[in-house]
Amino acid sequence: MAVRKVPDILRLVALLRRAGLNVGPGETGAALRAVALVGGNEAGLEEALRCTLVGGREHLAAFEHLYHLWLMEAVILNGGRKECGEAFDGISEGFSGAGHGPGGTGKPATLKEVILDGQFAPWGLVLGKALGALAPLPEAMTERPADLVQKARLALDWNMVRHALLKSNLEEEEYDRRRRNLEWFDKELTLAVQGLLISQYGPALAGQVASELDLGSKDFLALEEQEILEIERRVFQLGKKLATEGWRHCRRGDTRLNLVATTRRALASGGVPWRLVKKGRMPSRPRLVVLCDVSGSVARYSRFLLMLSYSLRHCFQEVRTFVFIDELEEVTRYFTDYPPGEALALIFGPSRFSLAGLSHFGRVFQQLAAECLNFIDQRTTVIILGDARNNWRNPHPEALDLVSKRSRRVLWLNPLPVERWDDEDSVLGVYRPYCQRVLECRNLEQLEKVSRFFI
Amino acid sequence: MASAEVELLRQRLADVGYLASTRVATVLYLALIMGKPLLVEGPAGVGKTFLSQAVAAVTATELIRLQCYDGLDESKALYEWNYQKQLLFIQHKSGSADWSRTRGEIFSEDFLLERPVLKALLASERTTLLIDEVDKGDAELESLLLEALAEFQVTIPEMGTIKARSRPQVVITSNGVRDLSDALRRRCLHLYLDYPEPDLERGIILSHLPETTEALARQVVMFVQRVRKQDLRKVPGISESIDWTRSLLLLGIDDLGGLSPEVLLPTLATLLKNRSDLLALEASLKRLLPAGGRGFGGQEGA
Repeated sequence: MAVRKVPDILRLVALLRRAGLNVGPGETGAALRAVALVGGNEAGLEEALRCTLVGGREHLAAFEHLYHLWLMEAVILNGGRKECGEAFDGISEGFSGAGHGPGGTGKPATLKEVILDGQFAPWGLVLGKALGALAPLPEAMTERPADLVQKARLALDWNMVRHALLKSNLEEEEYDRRRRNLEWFDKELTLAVQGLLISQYGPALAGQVASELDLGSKDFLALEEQEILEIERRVFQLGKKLATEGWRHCRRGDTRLNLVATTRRALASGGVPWRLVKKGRMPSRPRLVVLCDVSGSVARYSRFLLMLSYSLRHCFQEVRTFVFIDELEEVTRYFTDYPPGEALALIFGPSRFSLAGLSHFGRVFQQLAAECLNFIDQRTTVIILGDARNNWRNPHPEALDLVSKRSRRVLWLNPLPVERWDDEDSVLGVYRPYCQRVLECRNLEQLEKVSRFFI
Repeated sequence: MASAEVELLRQRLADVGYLASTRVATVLYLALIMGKPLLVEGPAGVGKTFLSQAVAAVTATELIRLQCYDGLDESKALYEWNYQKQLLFIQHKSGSADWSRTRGEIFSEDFLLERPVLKALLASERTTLLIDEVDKGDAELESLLLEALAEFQVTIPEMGTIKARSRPQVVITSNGVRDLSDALRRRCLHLYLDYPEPDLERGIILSHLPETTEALARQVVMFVQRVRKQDLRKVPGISESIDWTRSLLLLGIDDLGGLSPEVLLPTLATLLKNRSDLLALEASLKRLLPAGGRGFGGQEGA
């Protein structure tokens, strides 16, 4: 795409902020200056904006996508939305099956033919089929942009093609080449769908797209496969960061003067104690007990909490992790015997932790009080992650009361929105008096906030 | 035009042994012209530190290095008072001068021990300041560096604010072990260096080891790129690729075609620095070598 005039950079900054990047006036000023220095060179433009507006690796993918969307939006808005909409219609009509296939075969091009069978076909024809599946677009936008992109993928049997490629016995280099092609095409398809939506509904769509890229505020349940990997990486980093801060806090522990060490050091300066040496006694480390509901959709949230607990383990004298549906099972050994990725696969793989398949918090707390009180003491923080949906069974709050009295504190993390905490069969209100804090925890930002209470 | 200057910079980096992509050269060009610190992030062994050495060579400046570690404080990074010298001076002056004058004299540059950051700021000519592996230091270290990176000055309570005599070009490297603060990031231009593409890596090996044949370089790169995709604790970087190639040359191996895994295995100690990685690779070596362990014979390049 040729860039004759640099579009409004402040518009790009606004989109990046919607995607969760902290772009301040200083960075914006630096970006403007950098763009002026590189002139009209398009490759230089992207790099100038990237190095000034993106401060970390985790935002590179979002920047790349929004950069191209920003350029496309400028072309669409300058060229006239109506004309661009007609252009998109032309692409999808070109694929209507009227004999416009690859190599003059008369057959339409499919993603399977291009990726799996290695047939040559203009990508535009494949793209046309996907866009055609979205036509006609309604007058008002009723679906999320991400959902429409997914609809376009389904029209190409995307998942089938991806799965078949994964299972293929291709040579490694050929497999990599086709996988890269598929990834490239996914990006092009996503941009094309979003461009179509902008031409139909206006520039507000770009803001919606940007918001969808903000992984920090995205509900864990709404994450796509690649996003899960990125969130896992960030959760692991978060754990290491908190572990380091917690360790430093412990290290600074005792500020009393160490007279012997101070005197010894003073010998180097003629007996004058220029520098004081503190005792720095480290207080004993706390303990952590984590209970995770792994029923239904809550399992996704539990996964990330277990990962965070694993990465925080050095901050605690002991970390014991349990999962449950209606029966408690300890999974601590998985994290000691296996790398975290493998441990999670083993925990969430087979169907266990359940007698009847329906959550029973009351029974689980009874089990906890009966079997685990011996390692819960005044240094122990107990964290419970669950939606408190008890399926109309006896909640046994006295069991949680026992645990609460014995421990340092009980934190309840609920993946449901606050307004749904007392719906239907939820018994959170029954358990709340025995918890020091009850917190919403549905995305990375919230997980980061609540994790500060762990240590 | 800027693109011509970027290309010229790229060529000058190549002349001192650093093969940079246009992307890297563009960011470096902007950092040099704008006078902003450059934060280079990436996995270990991709050439972050070498980039700063190349910058110093290209700009003909002295390289001043601050190696960060946990517990590094301002007395090692910025400055420290020479307490012994101050004591001697006070003893020398005892009884002969008033205290106000003495105090002014002992808190002066004569009694200041310059550590790397202050040394770079007070140098009479422009320098390149490398703050290496800043993620190994703690958050307090970042706070200490903020004033120096933003305003190129250091505030010393006893002396006041010392402004830079010449603004150094600052390169900060990070392996991403720890998240850096937003305050540090927003003062820098950001560059993420990943493992290179096959063509670039081949060129790097050939530029460091000119005696390497094209075929061997191609085979080494192909193998290393495959190894990097395995689940390893320490993924080999470019420096490991170069070391492995050098070890192959020293053993008289100039073609991996037909080489059996048993012969290849001992050489991999230069590529993989972790025992569990070596054991894991040993188990999958035949799979990574194309044509069932018959080596790279007849294989086209990547």
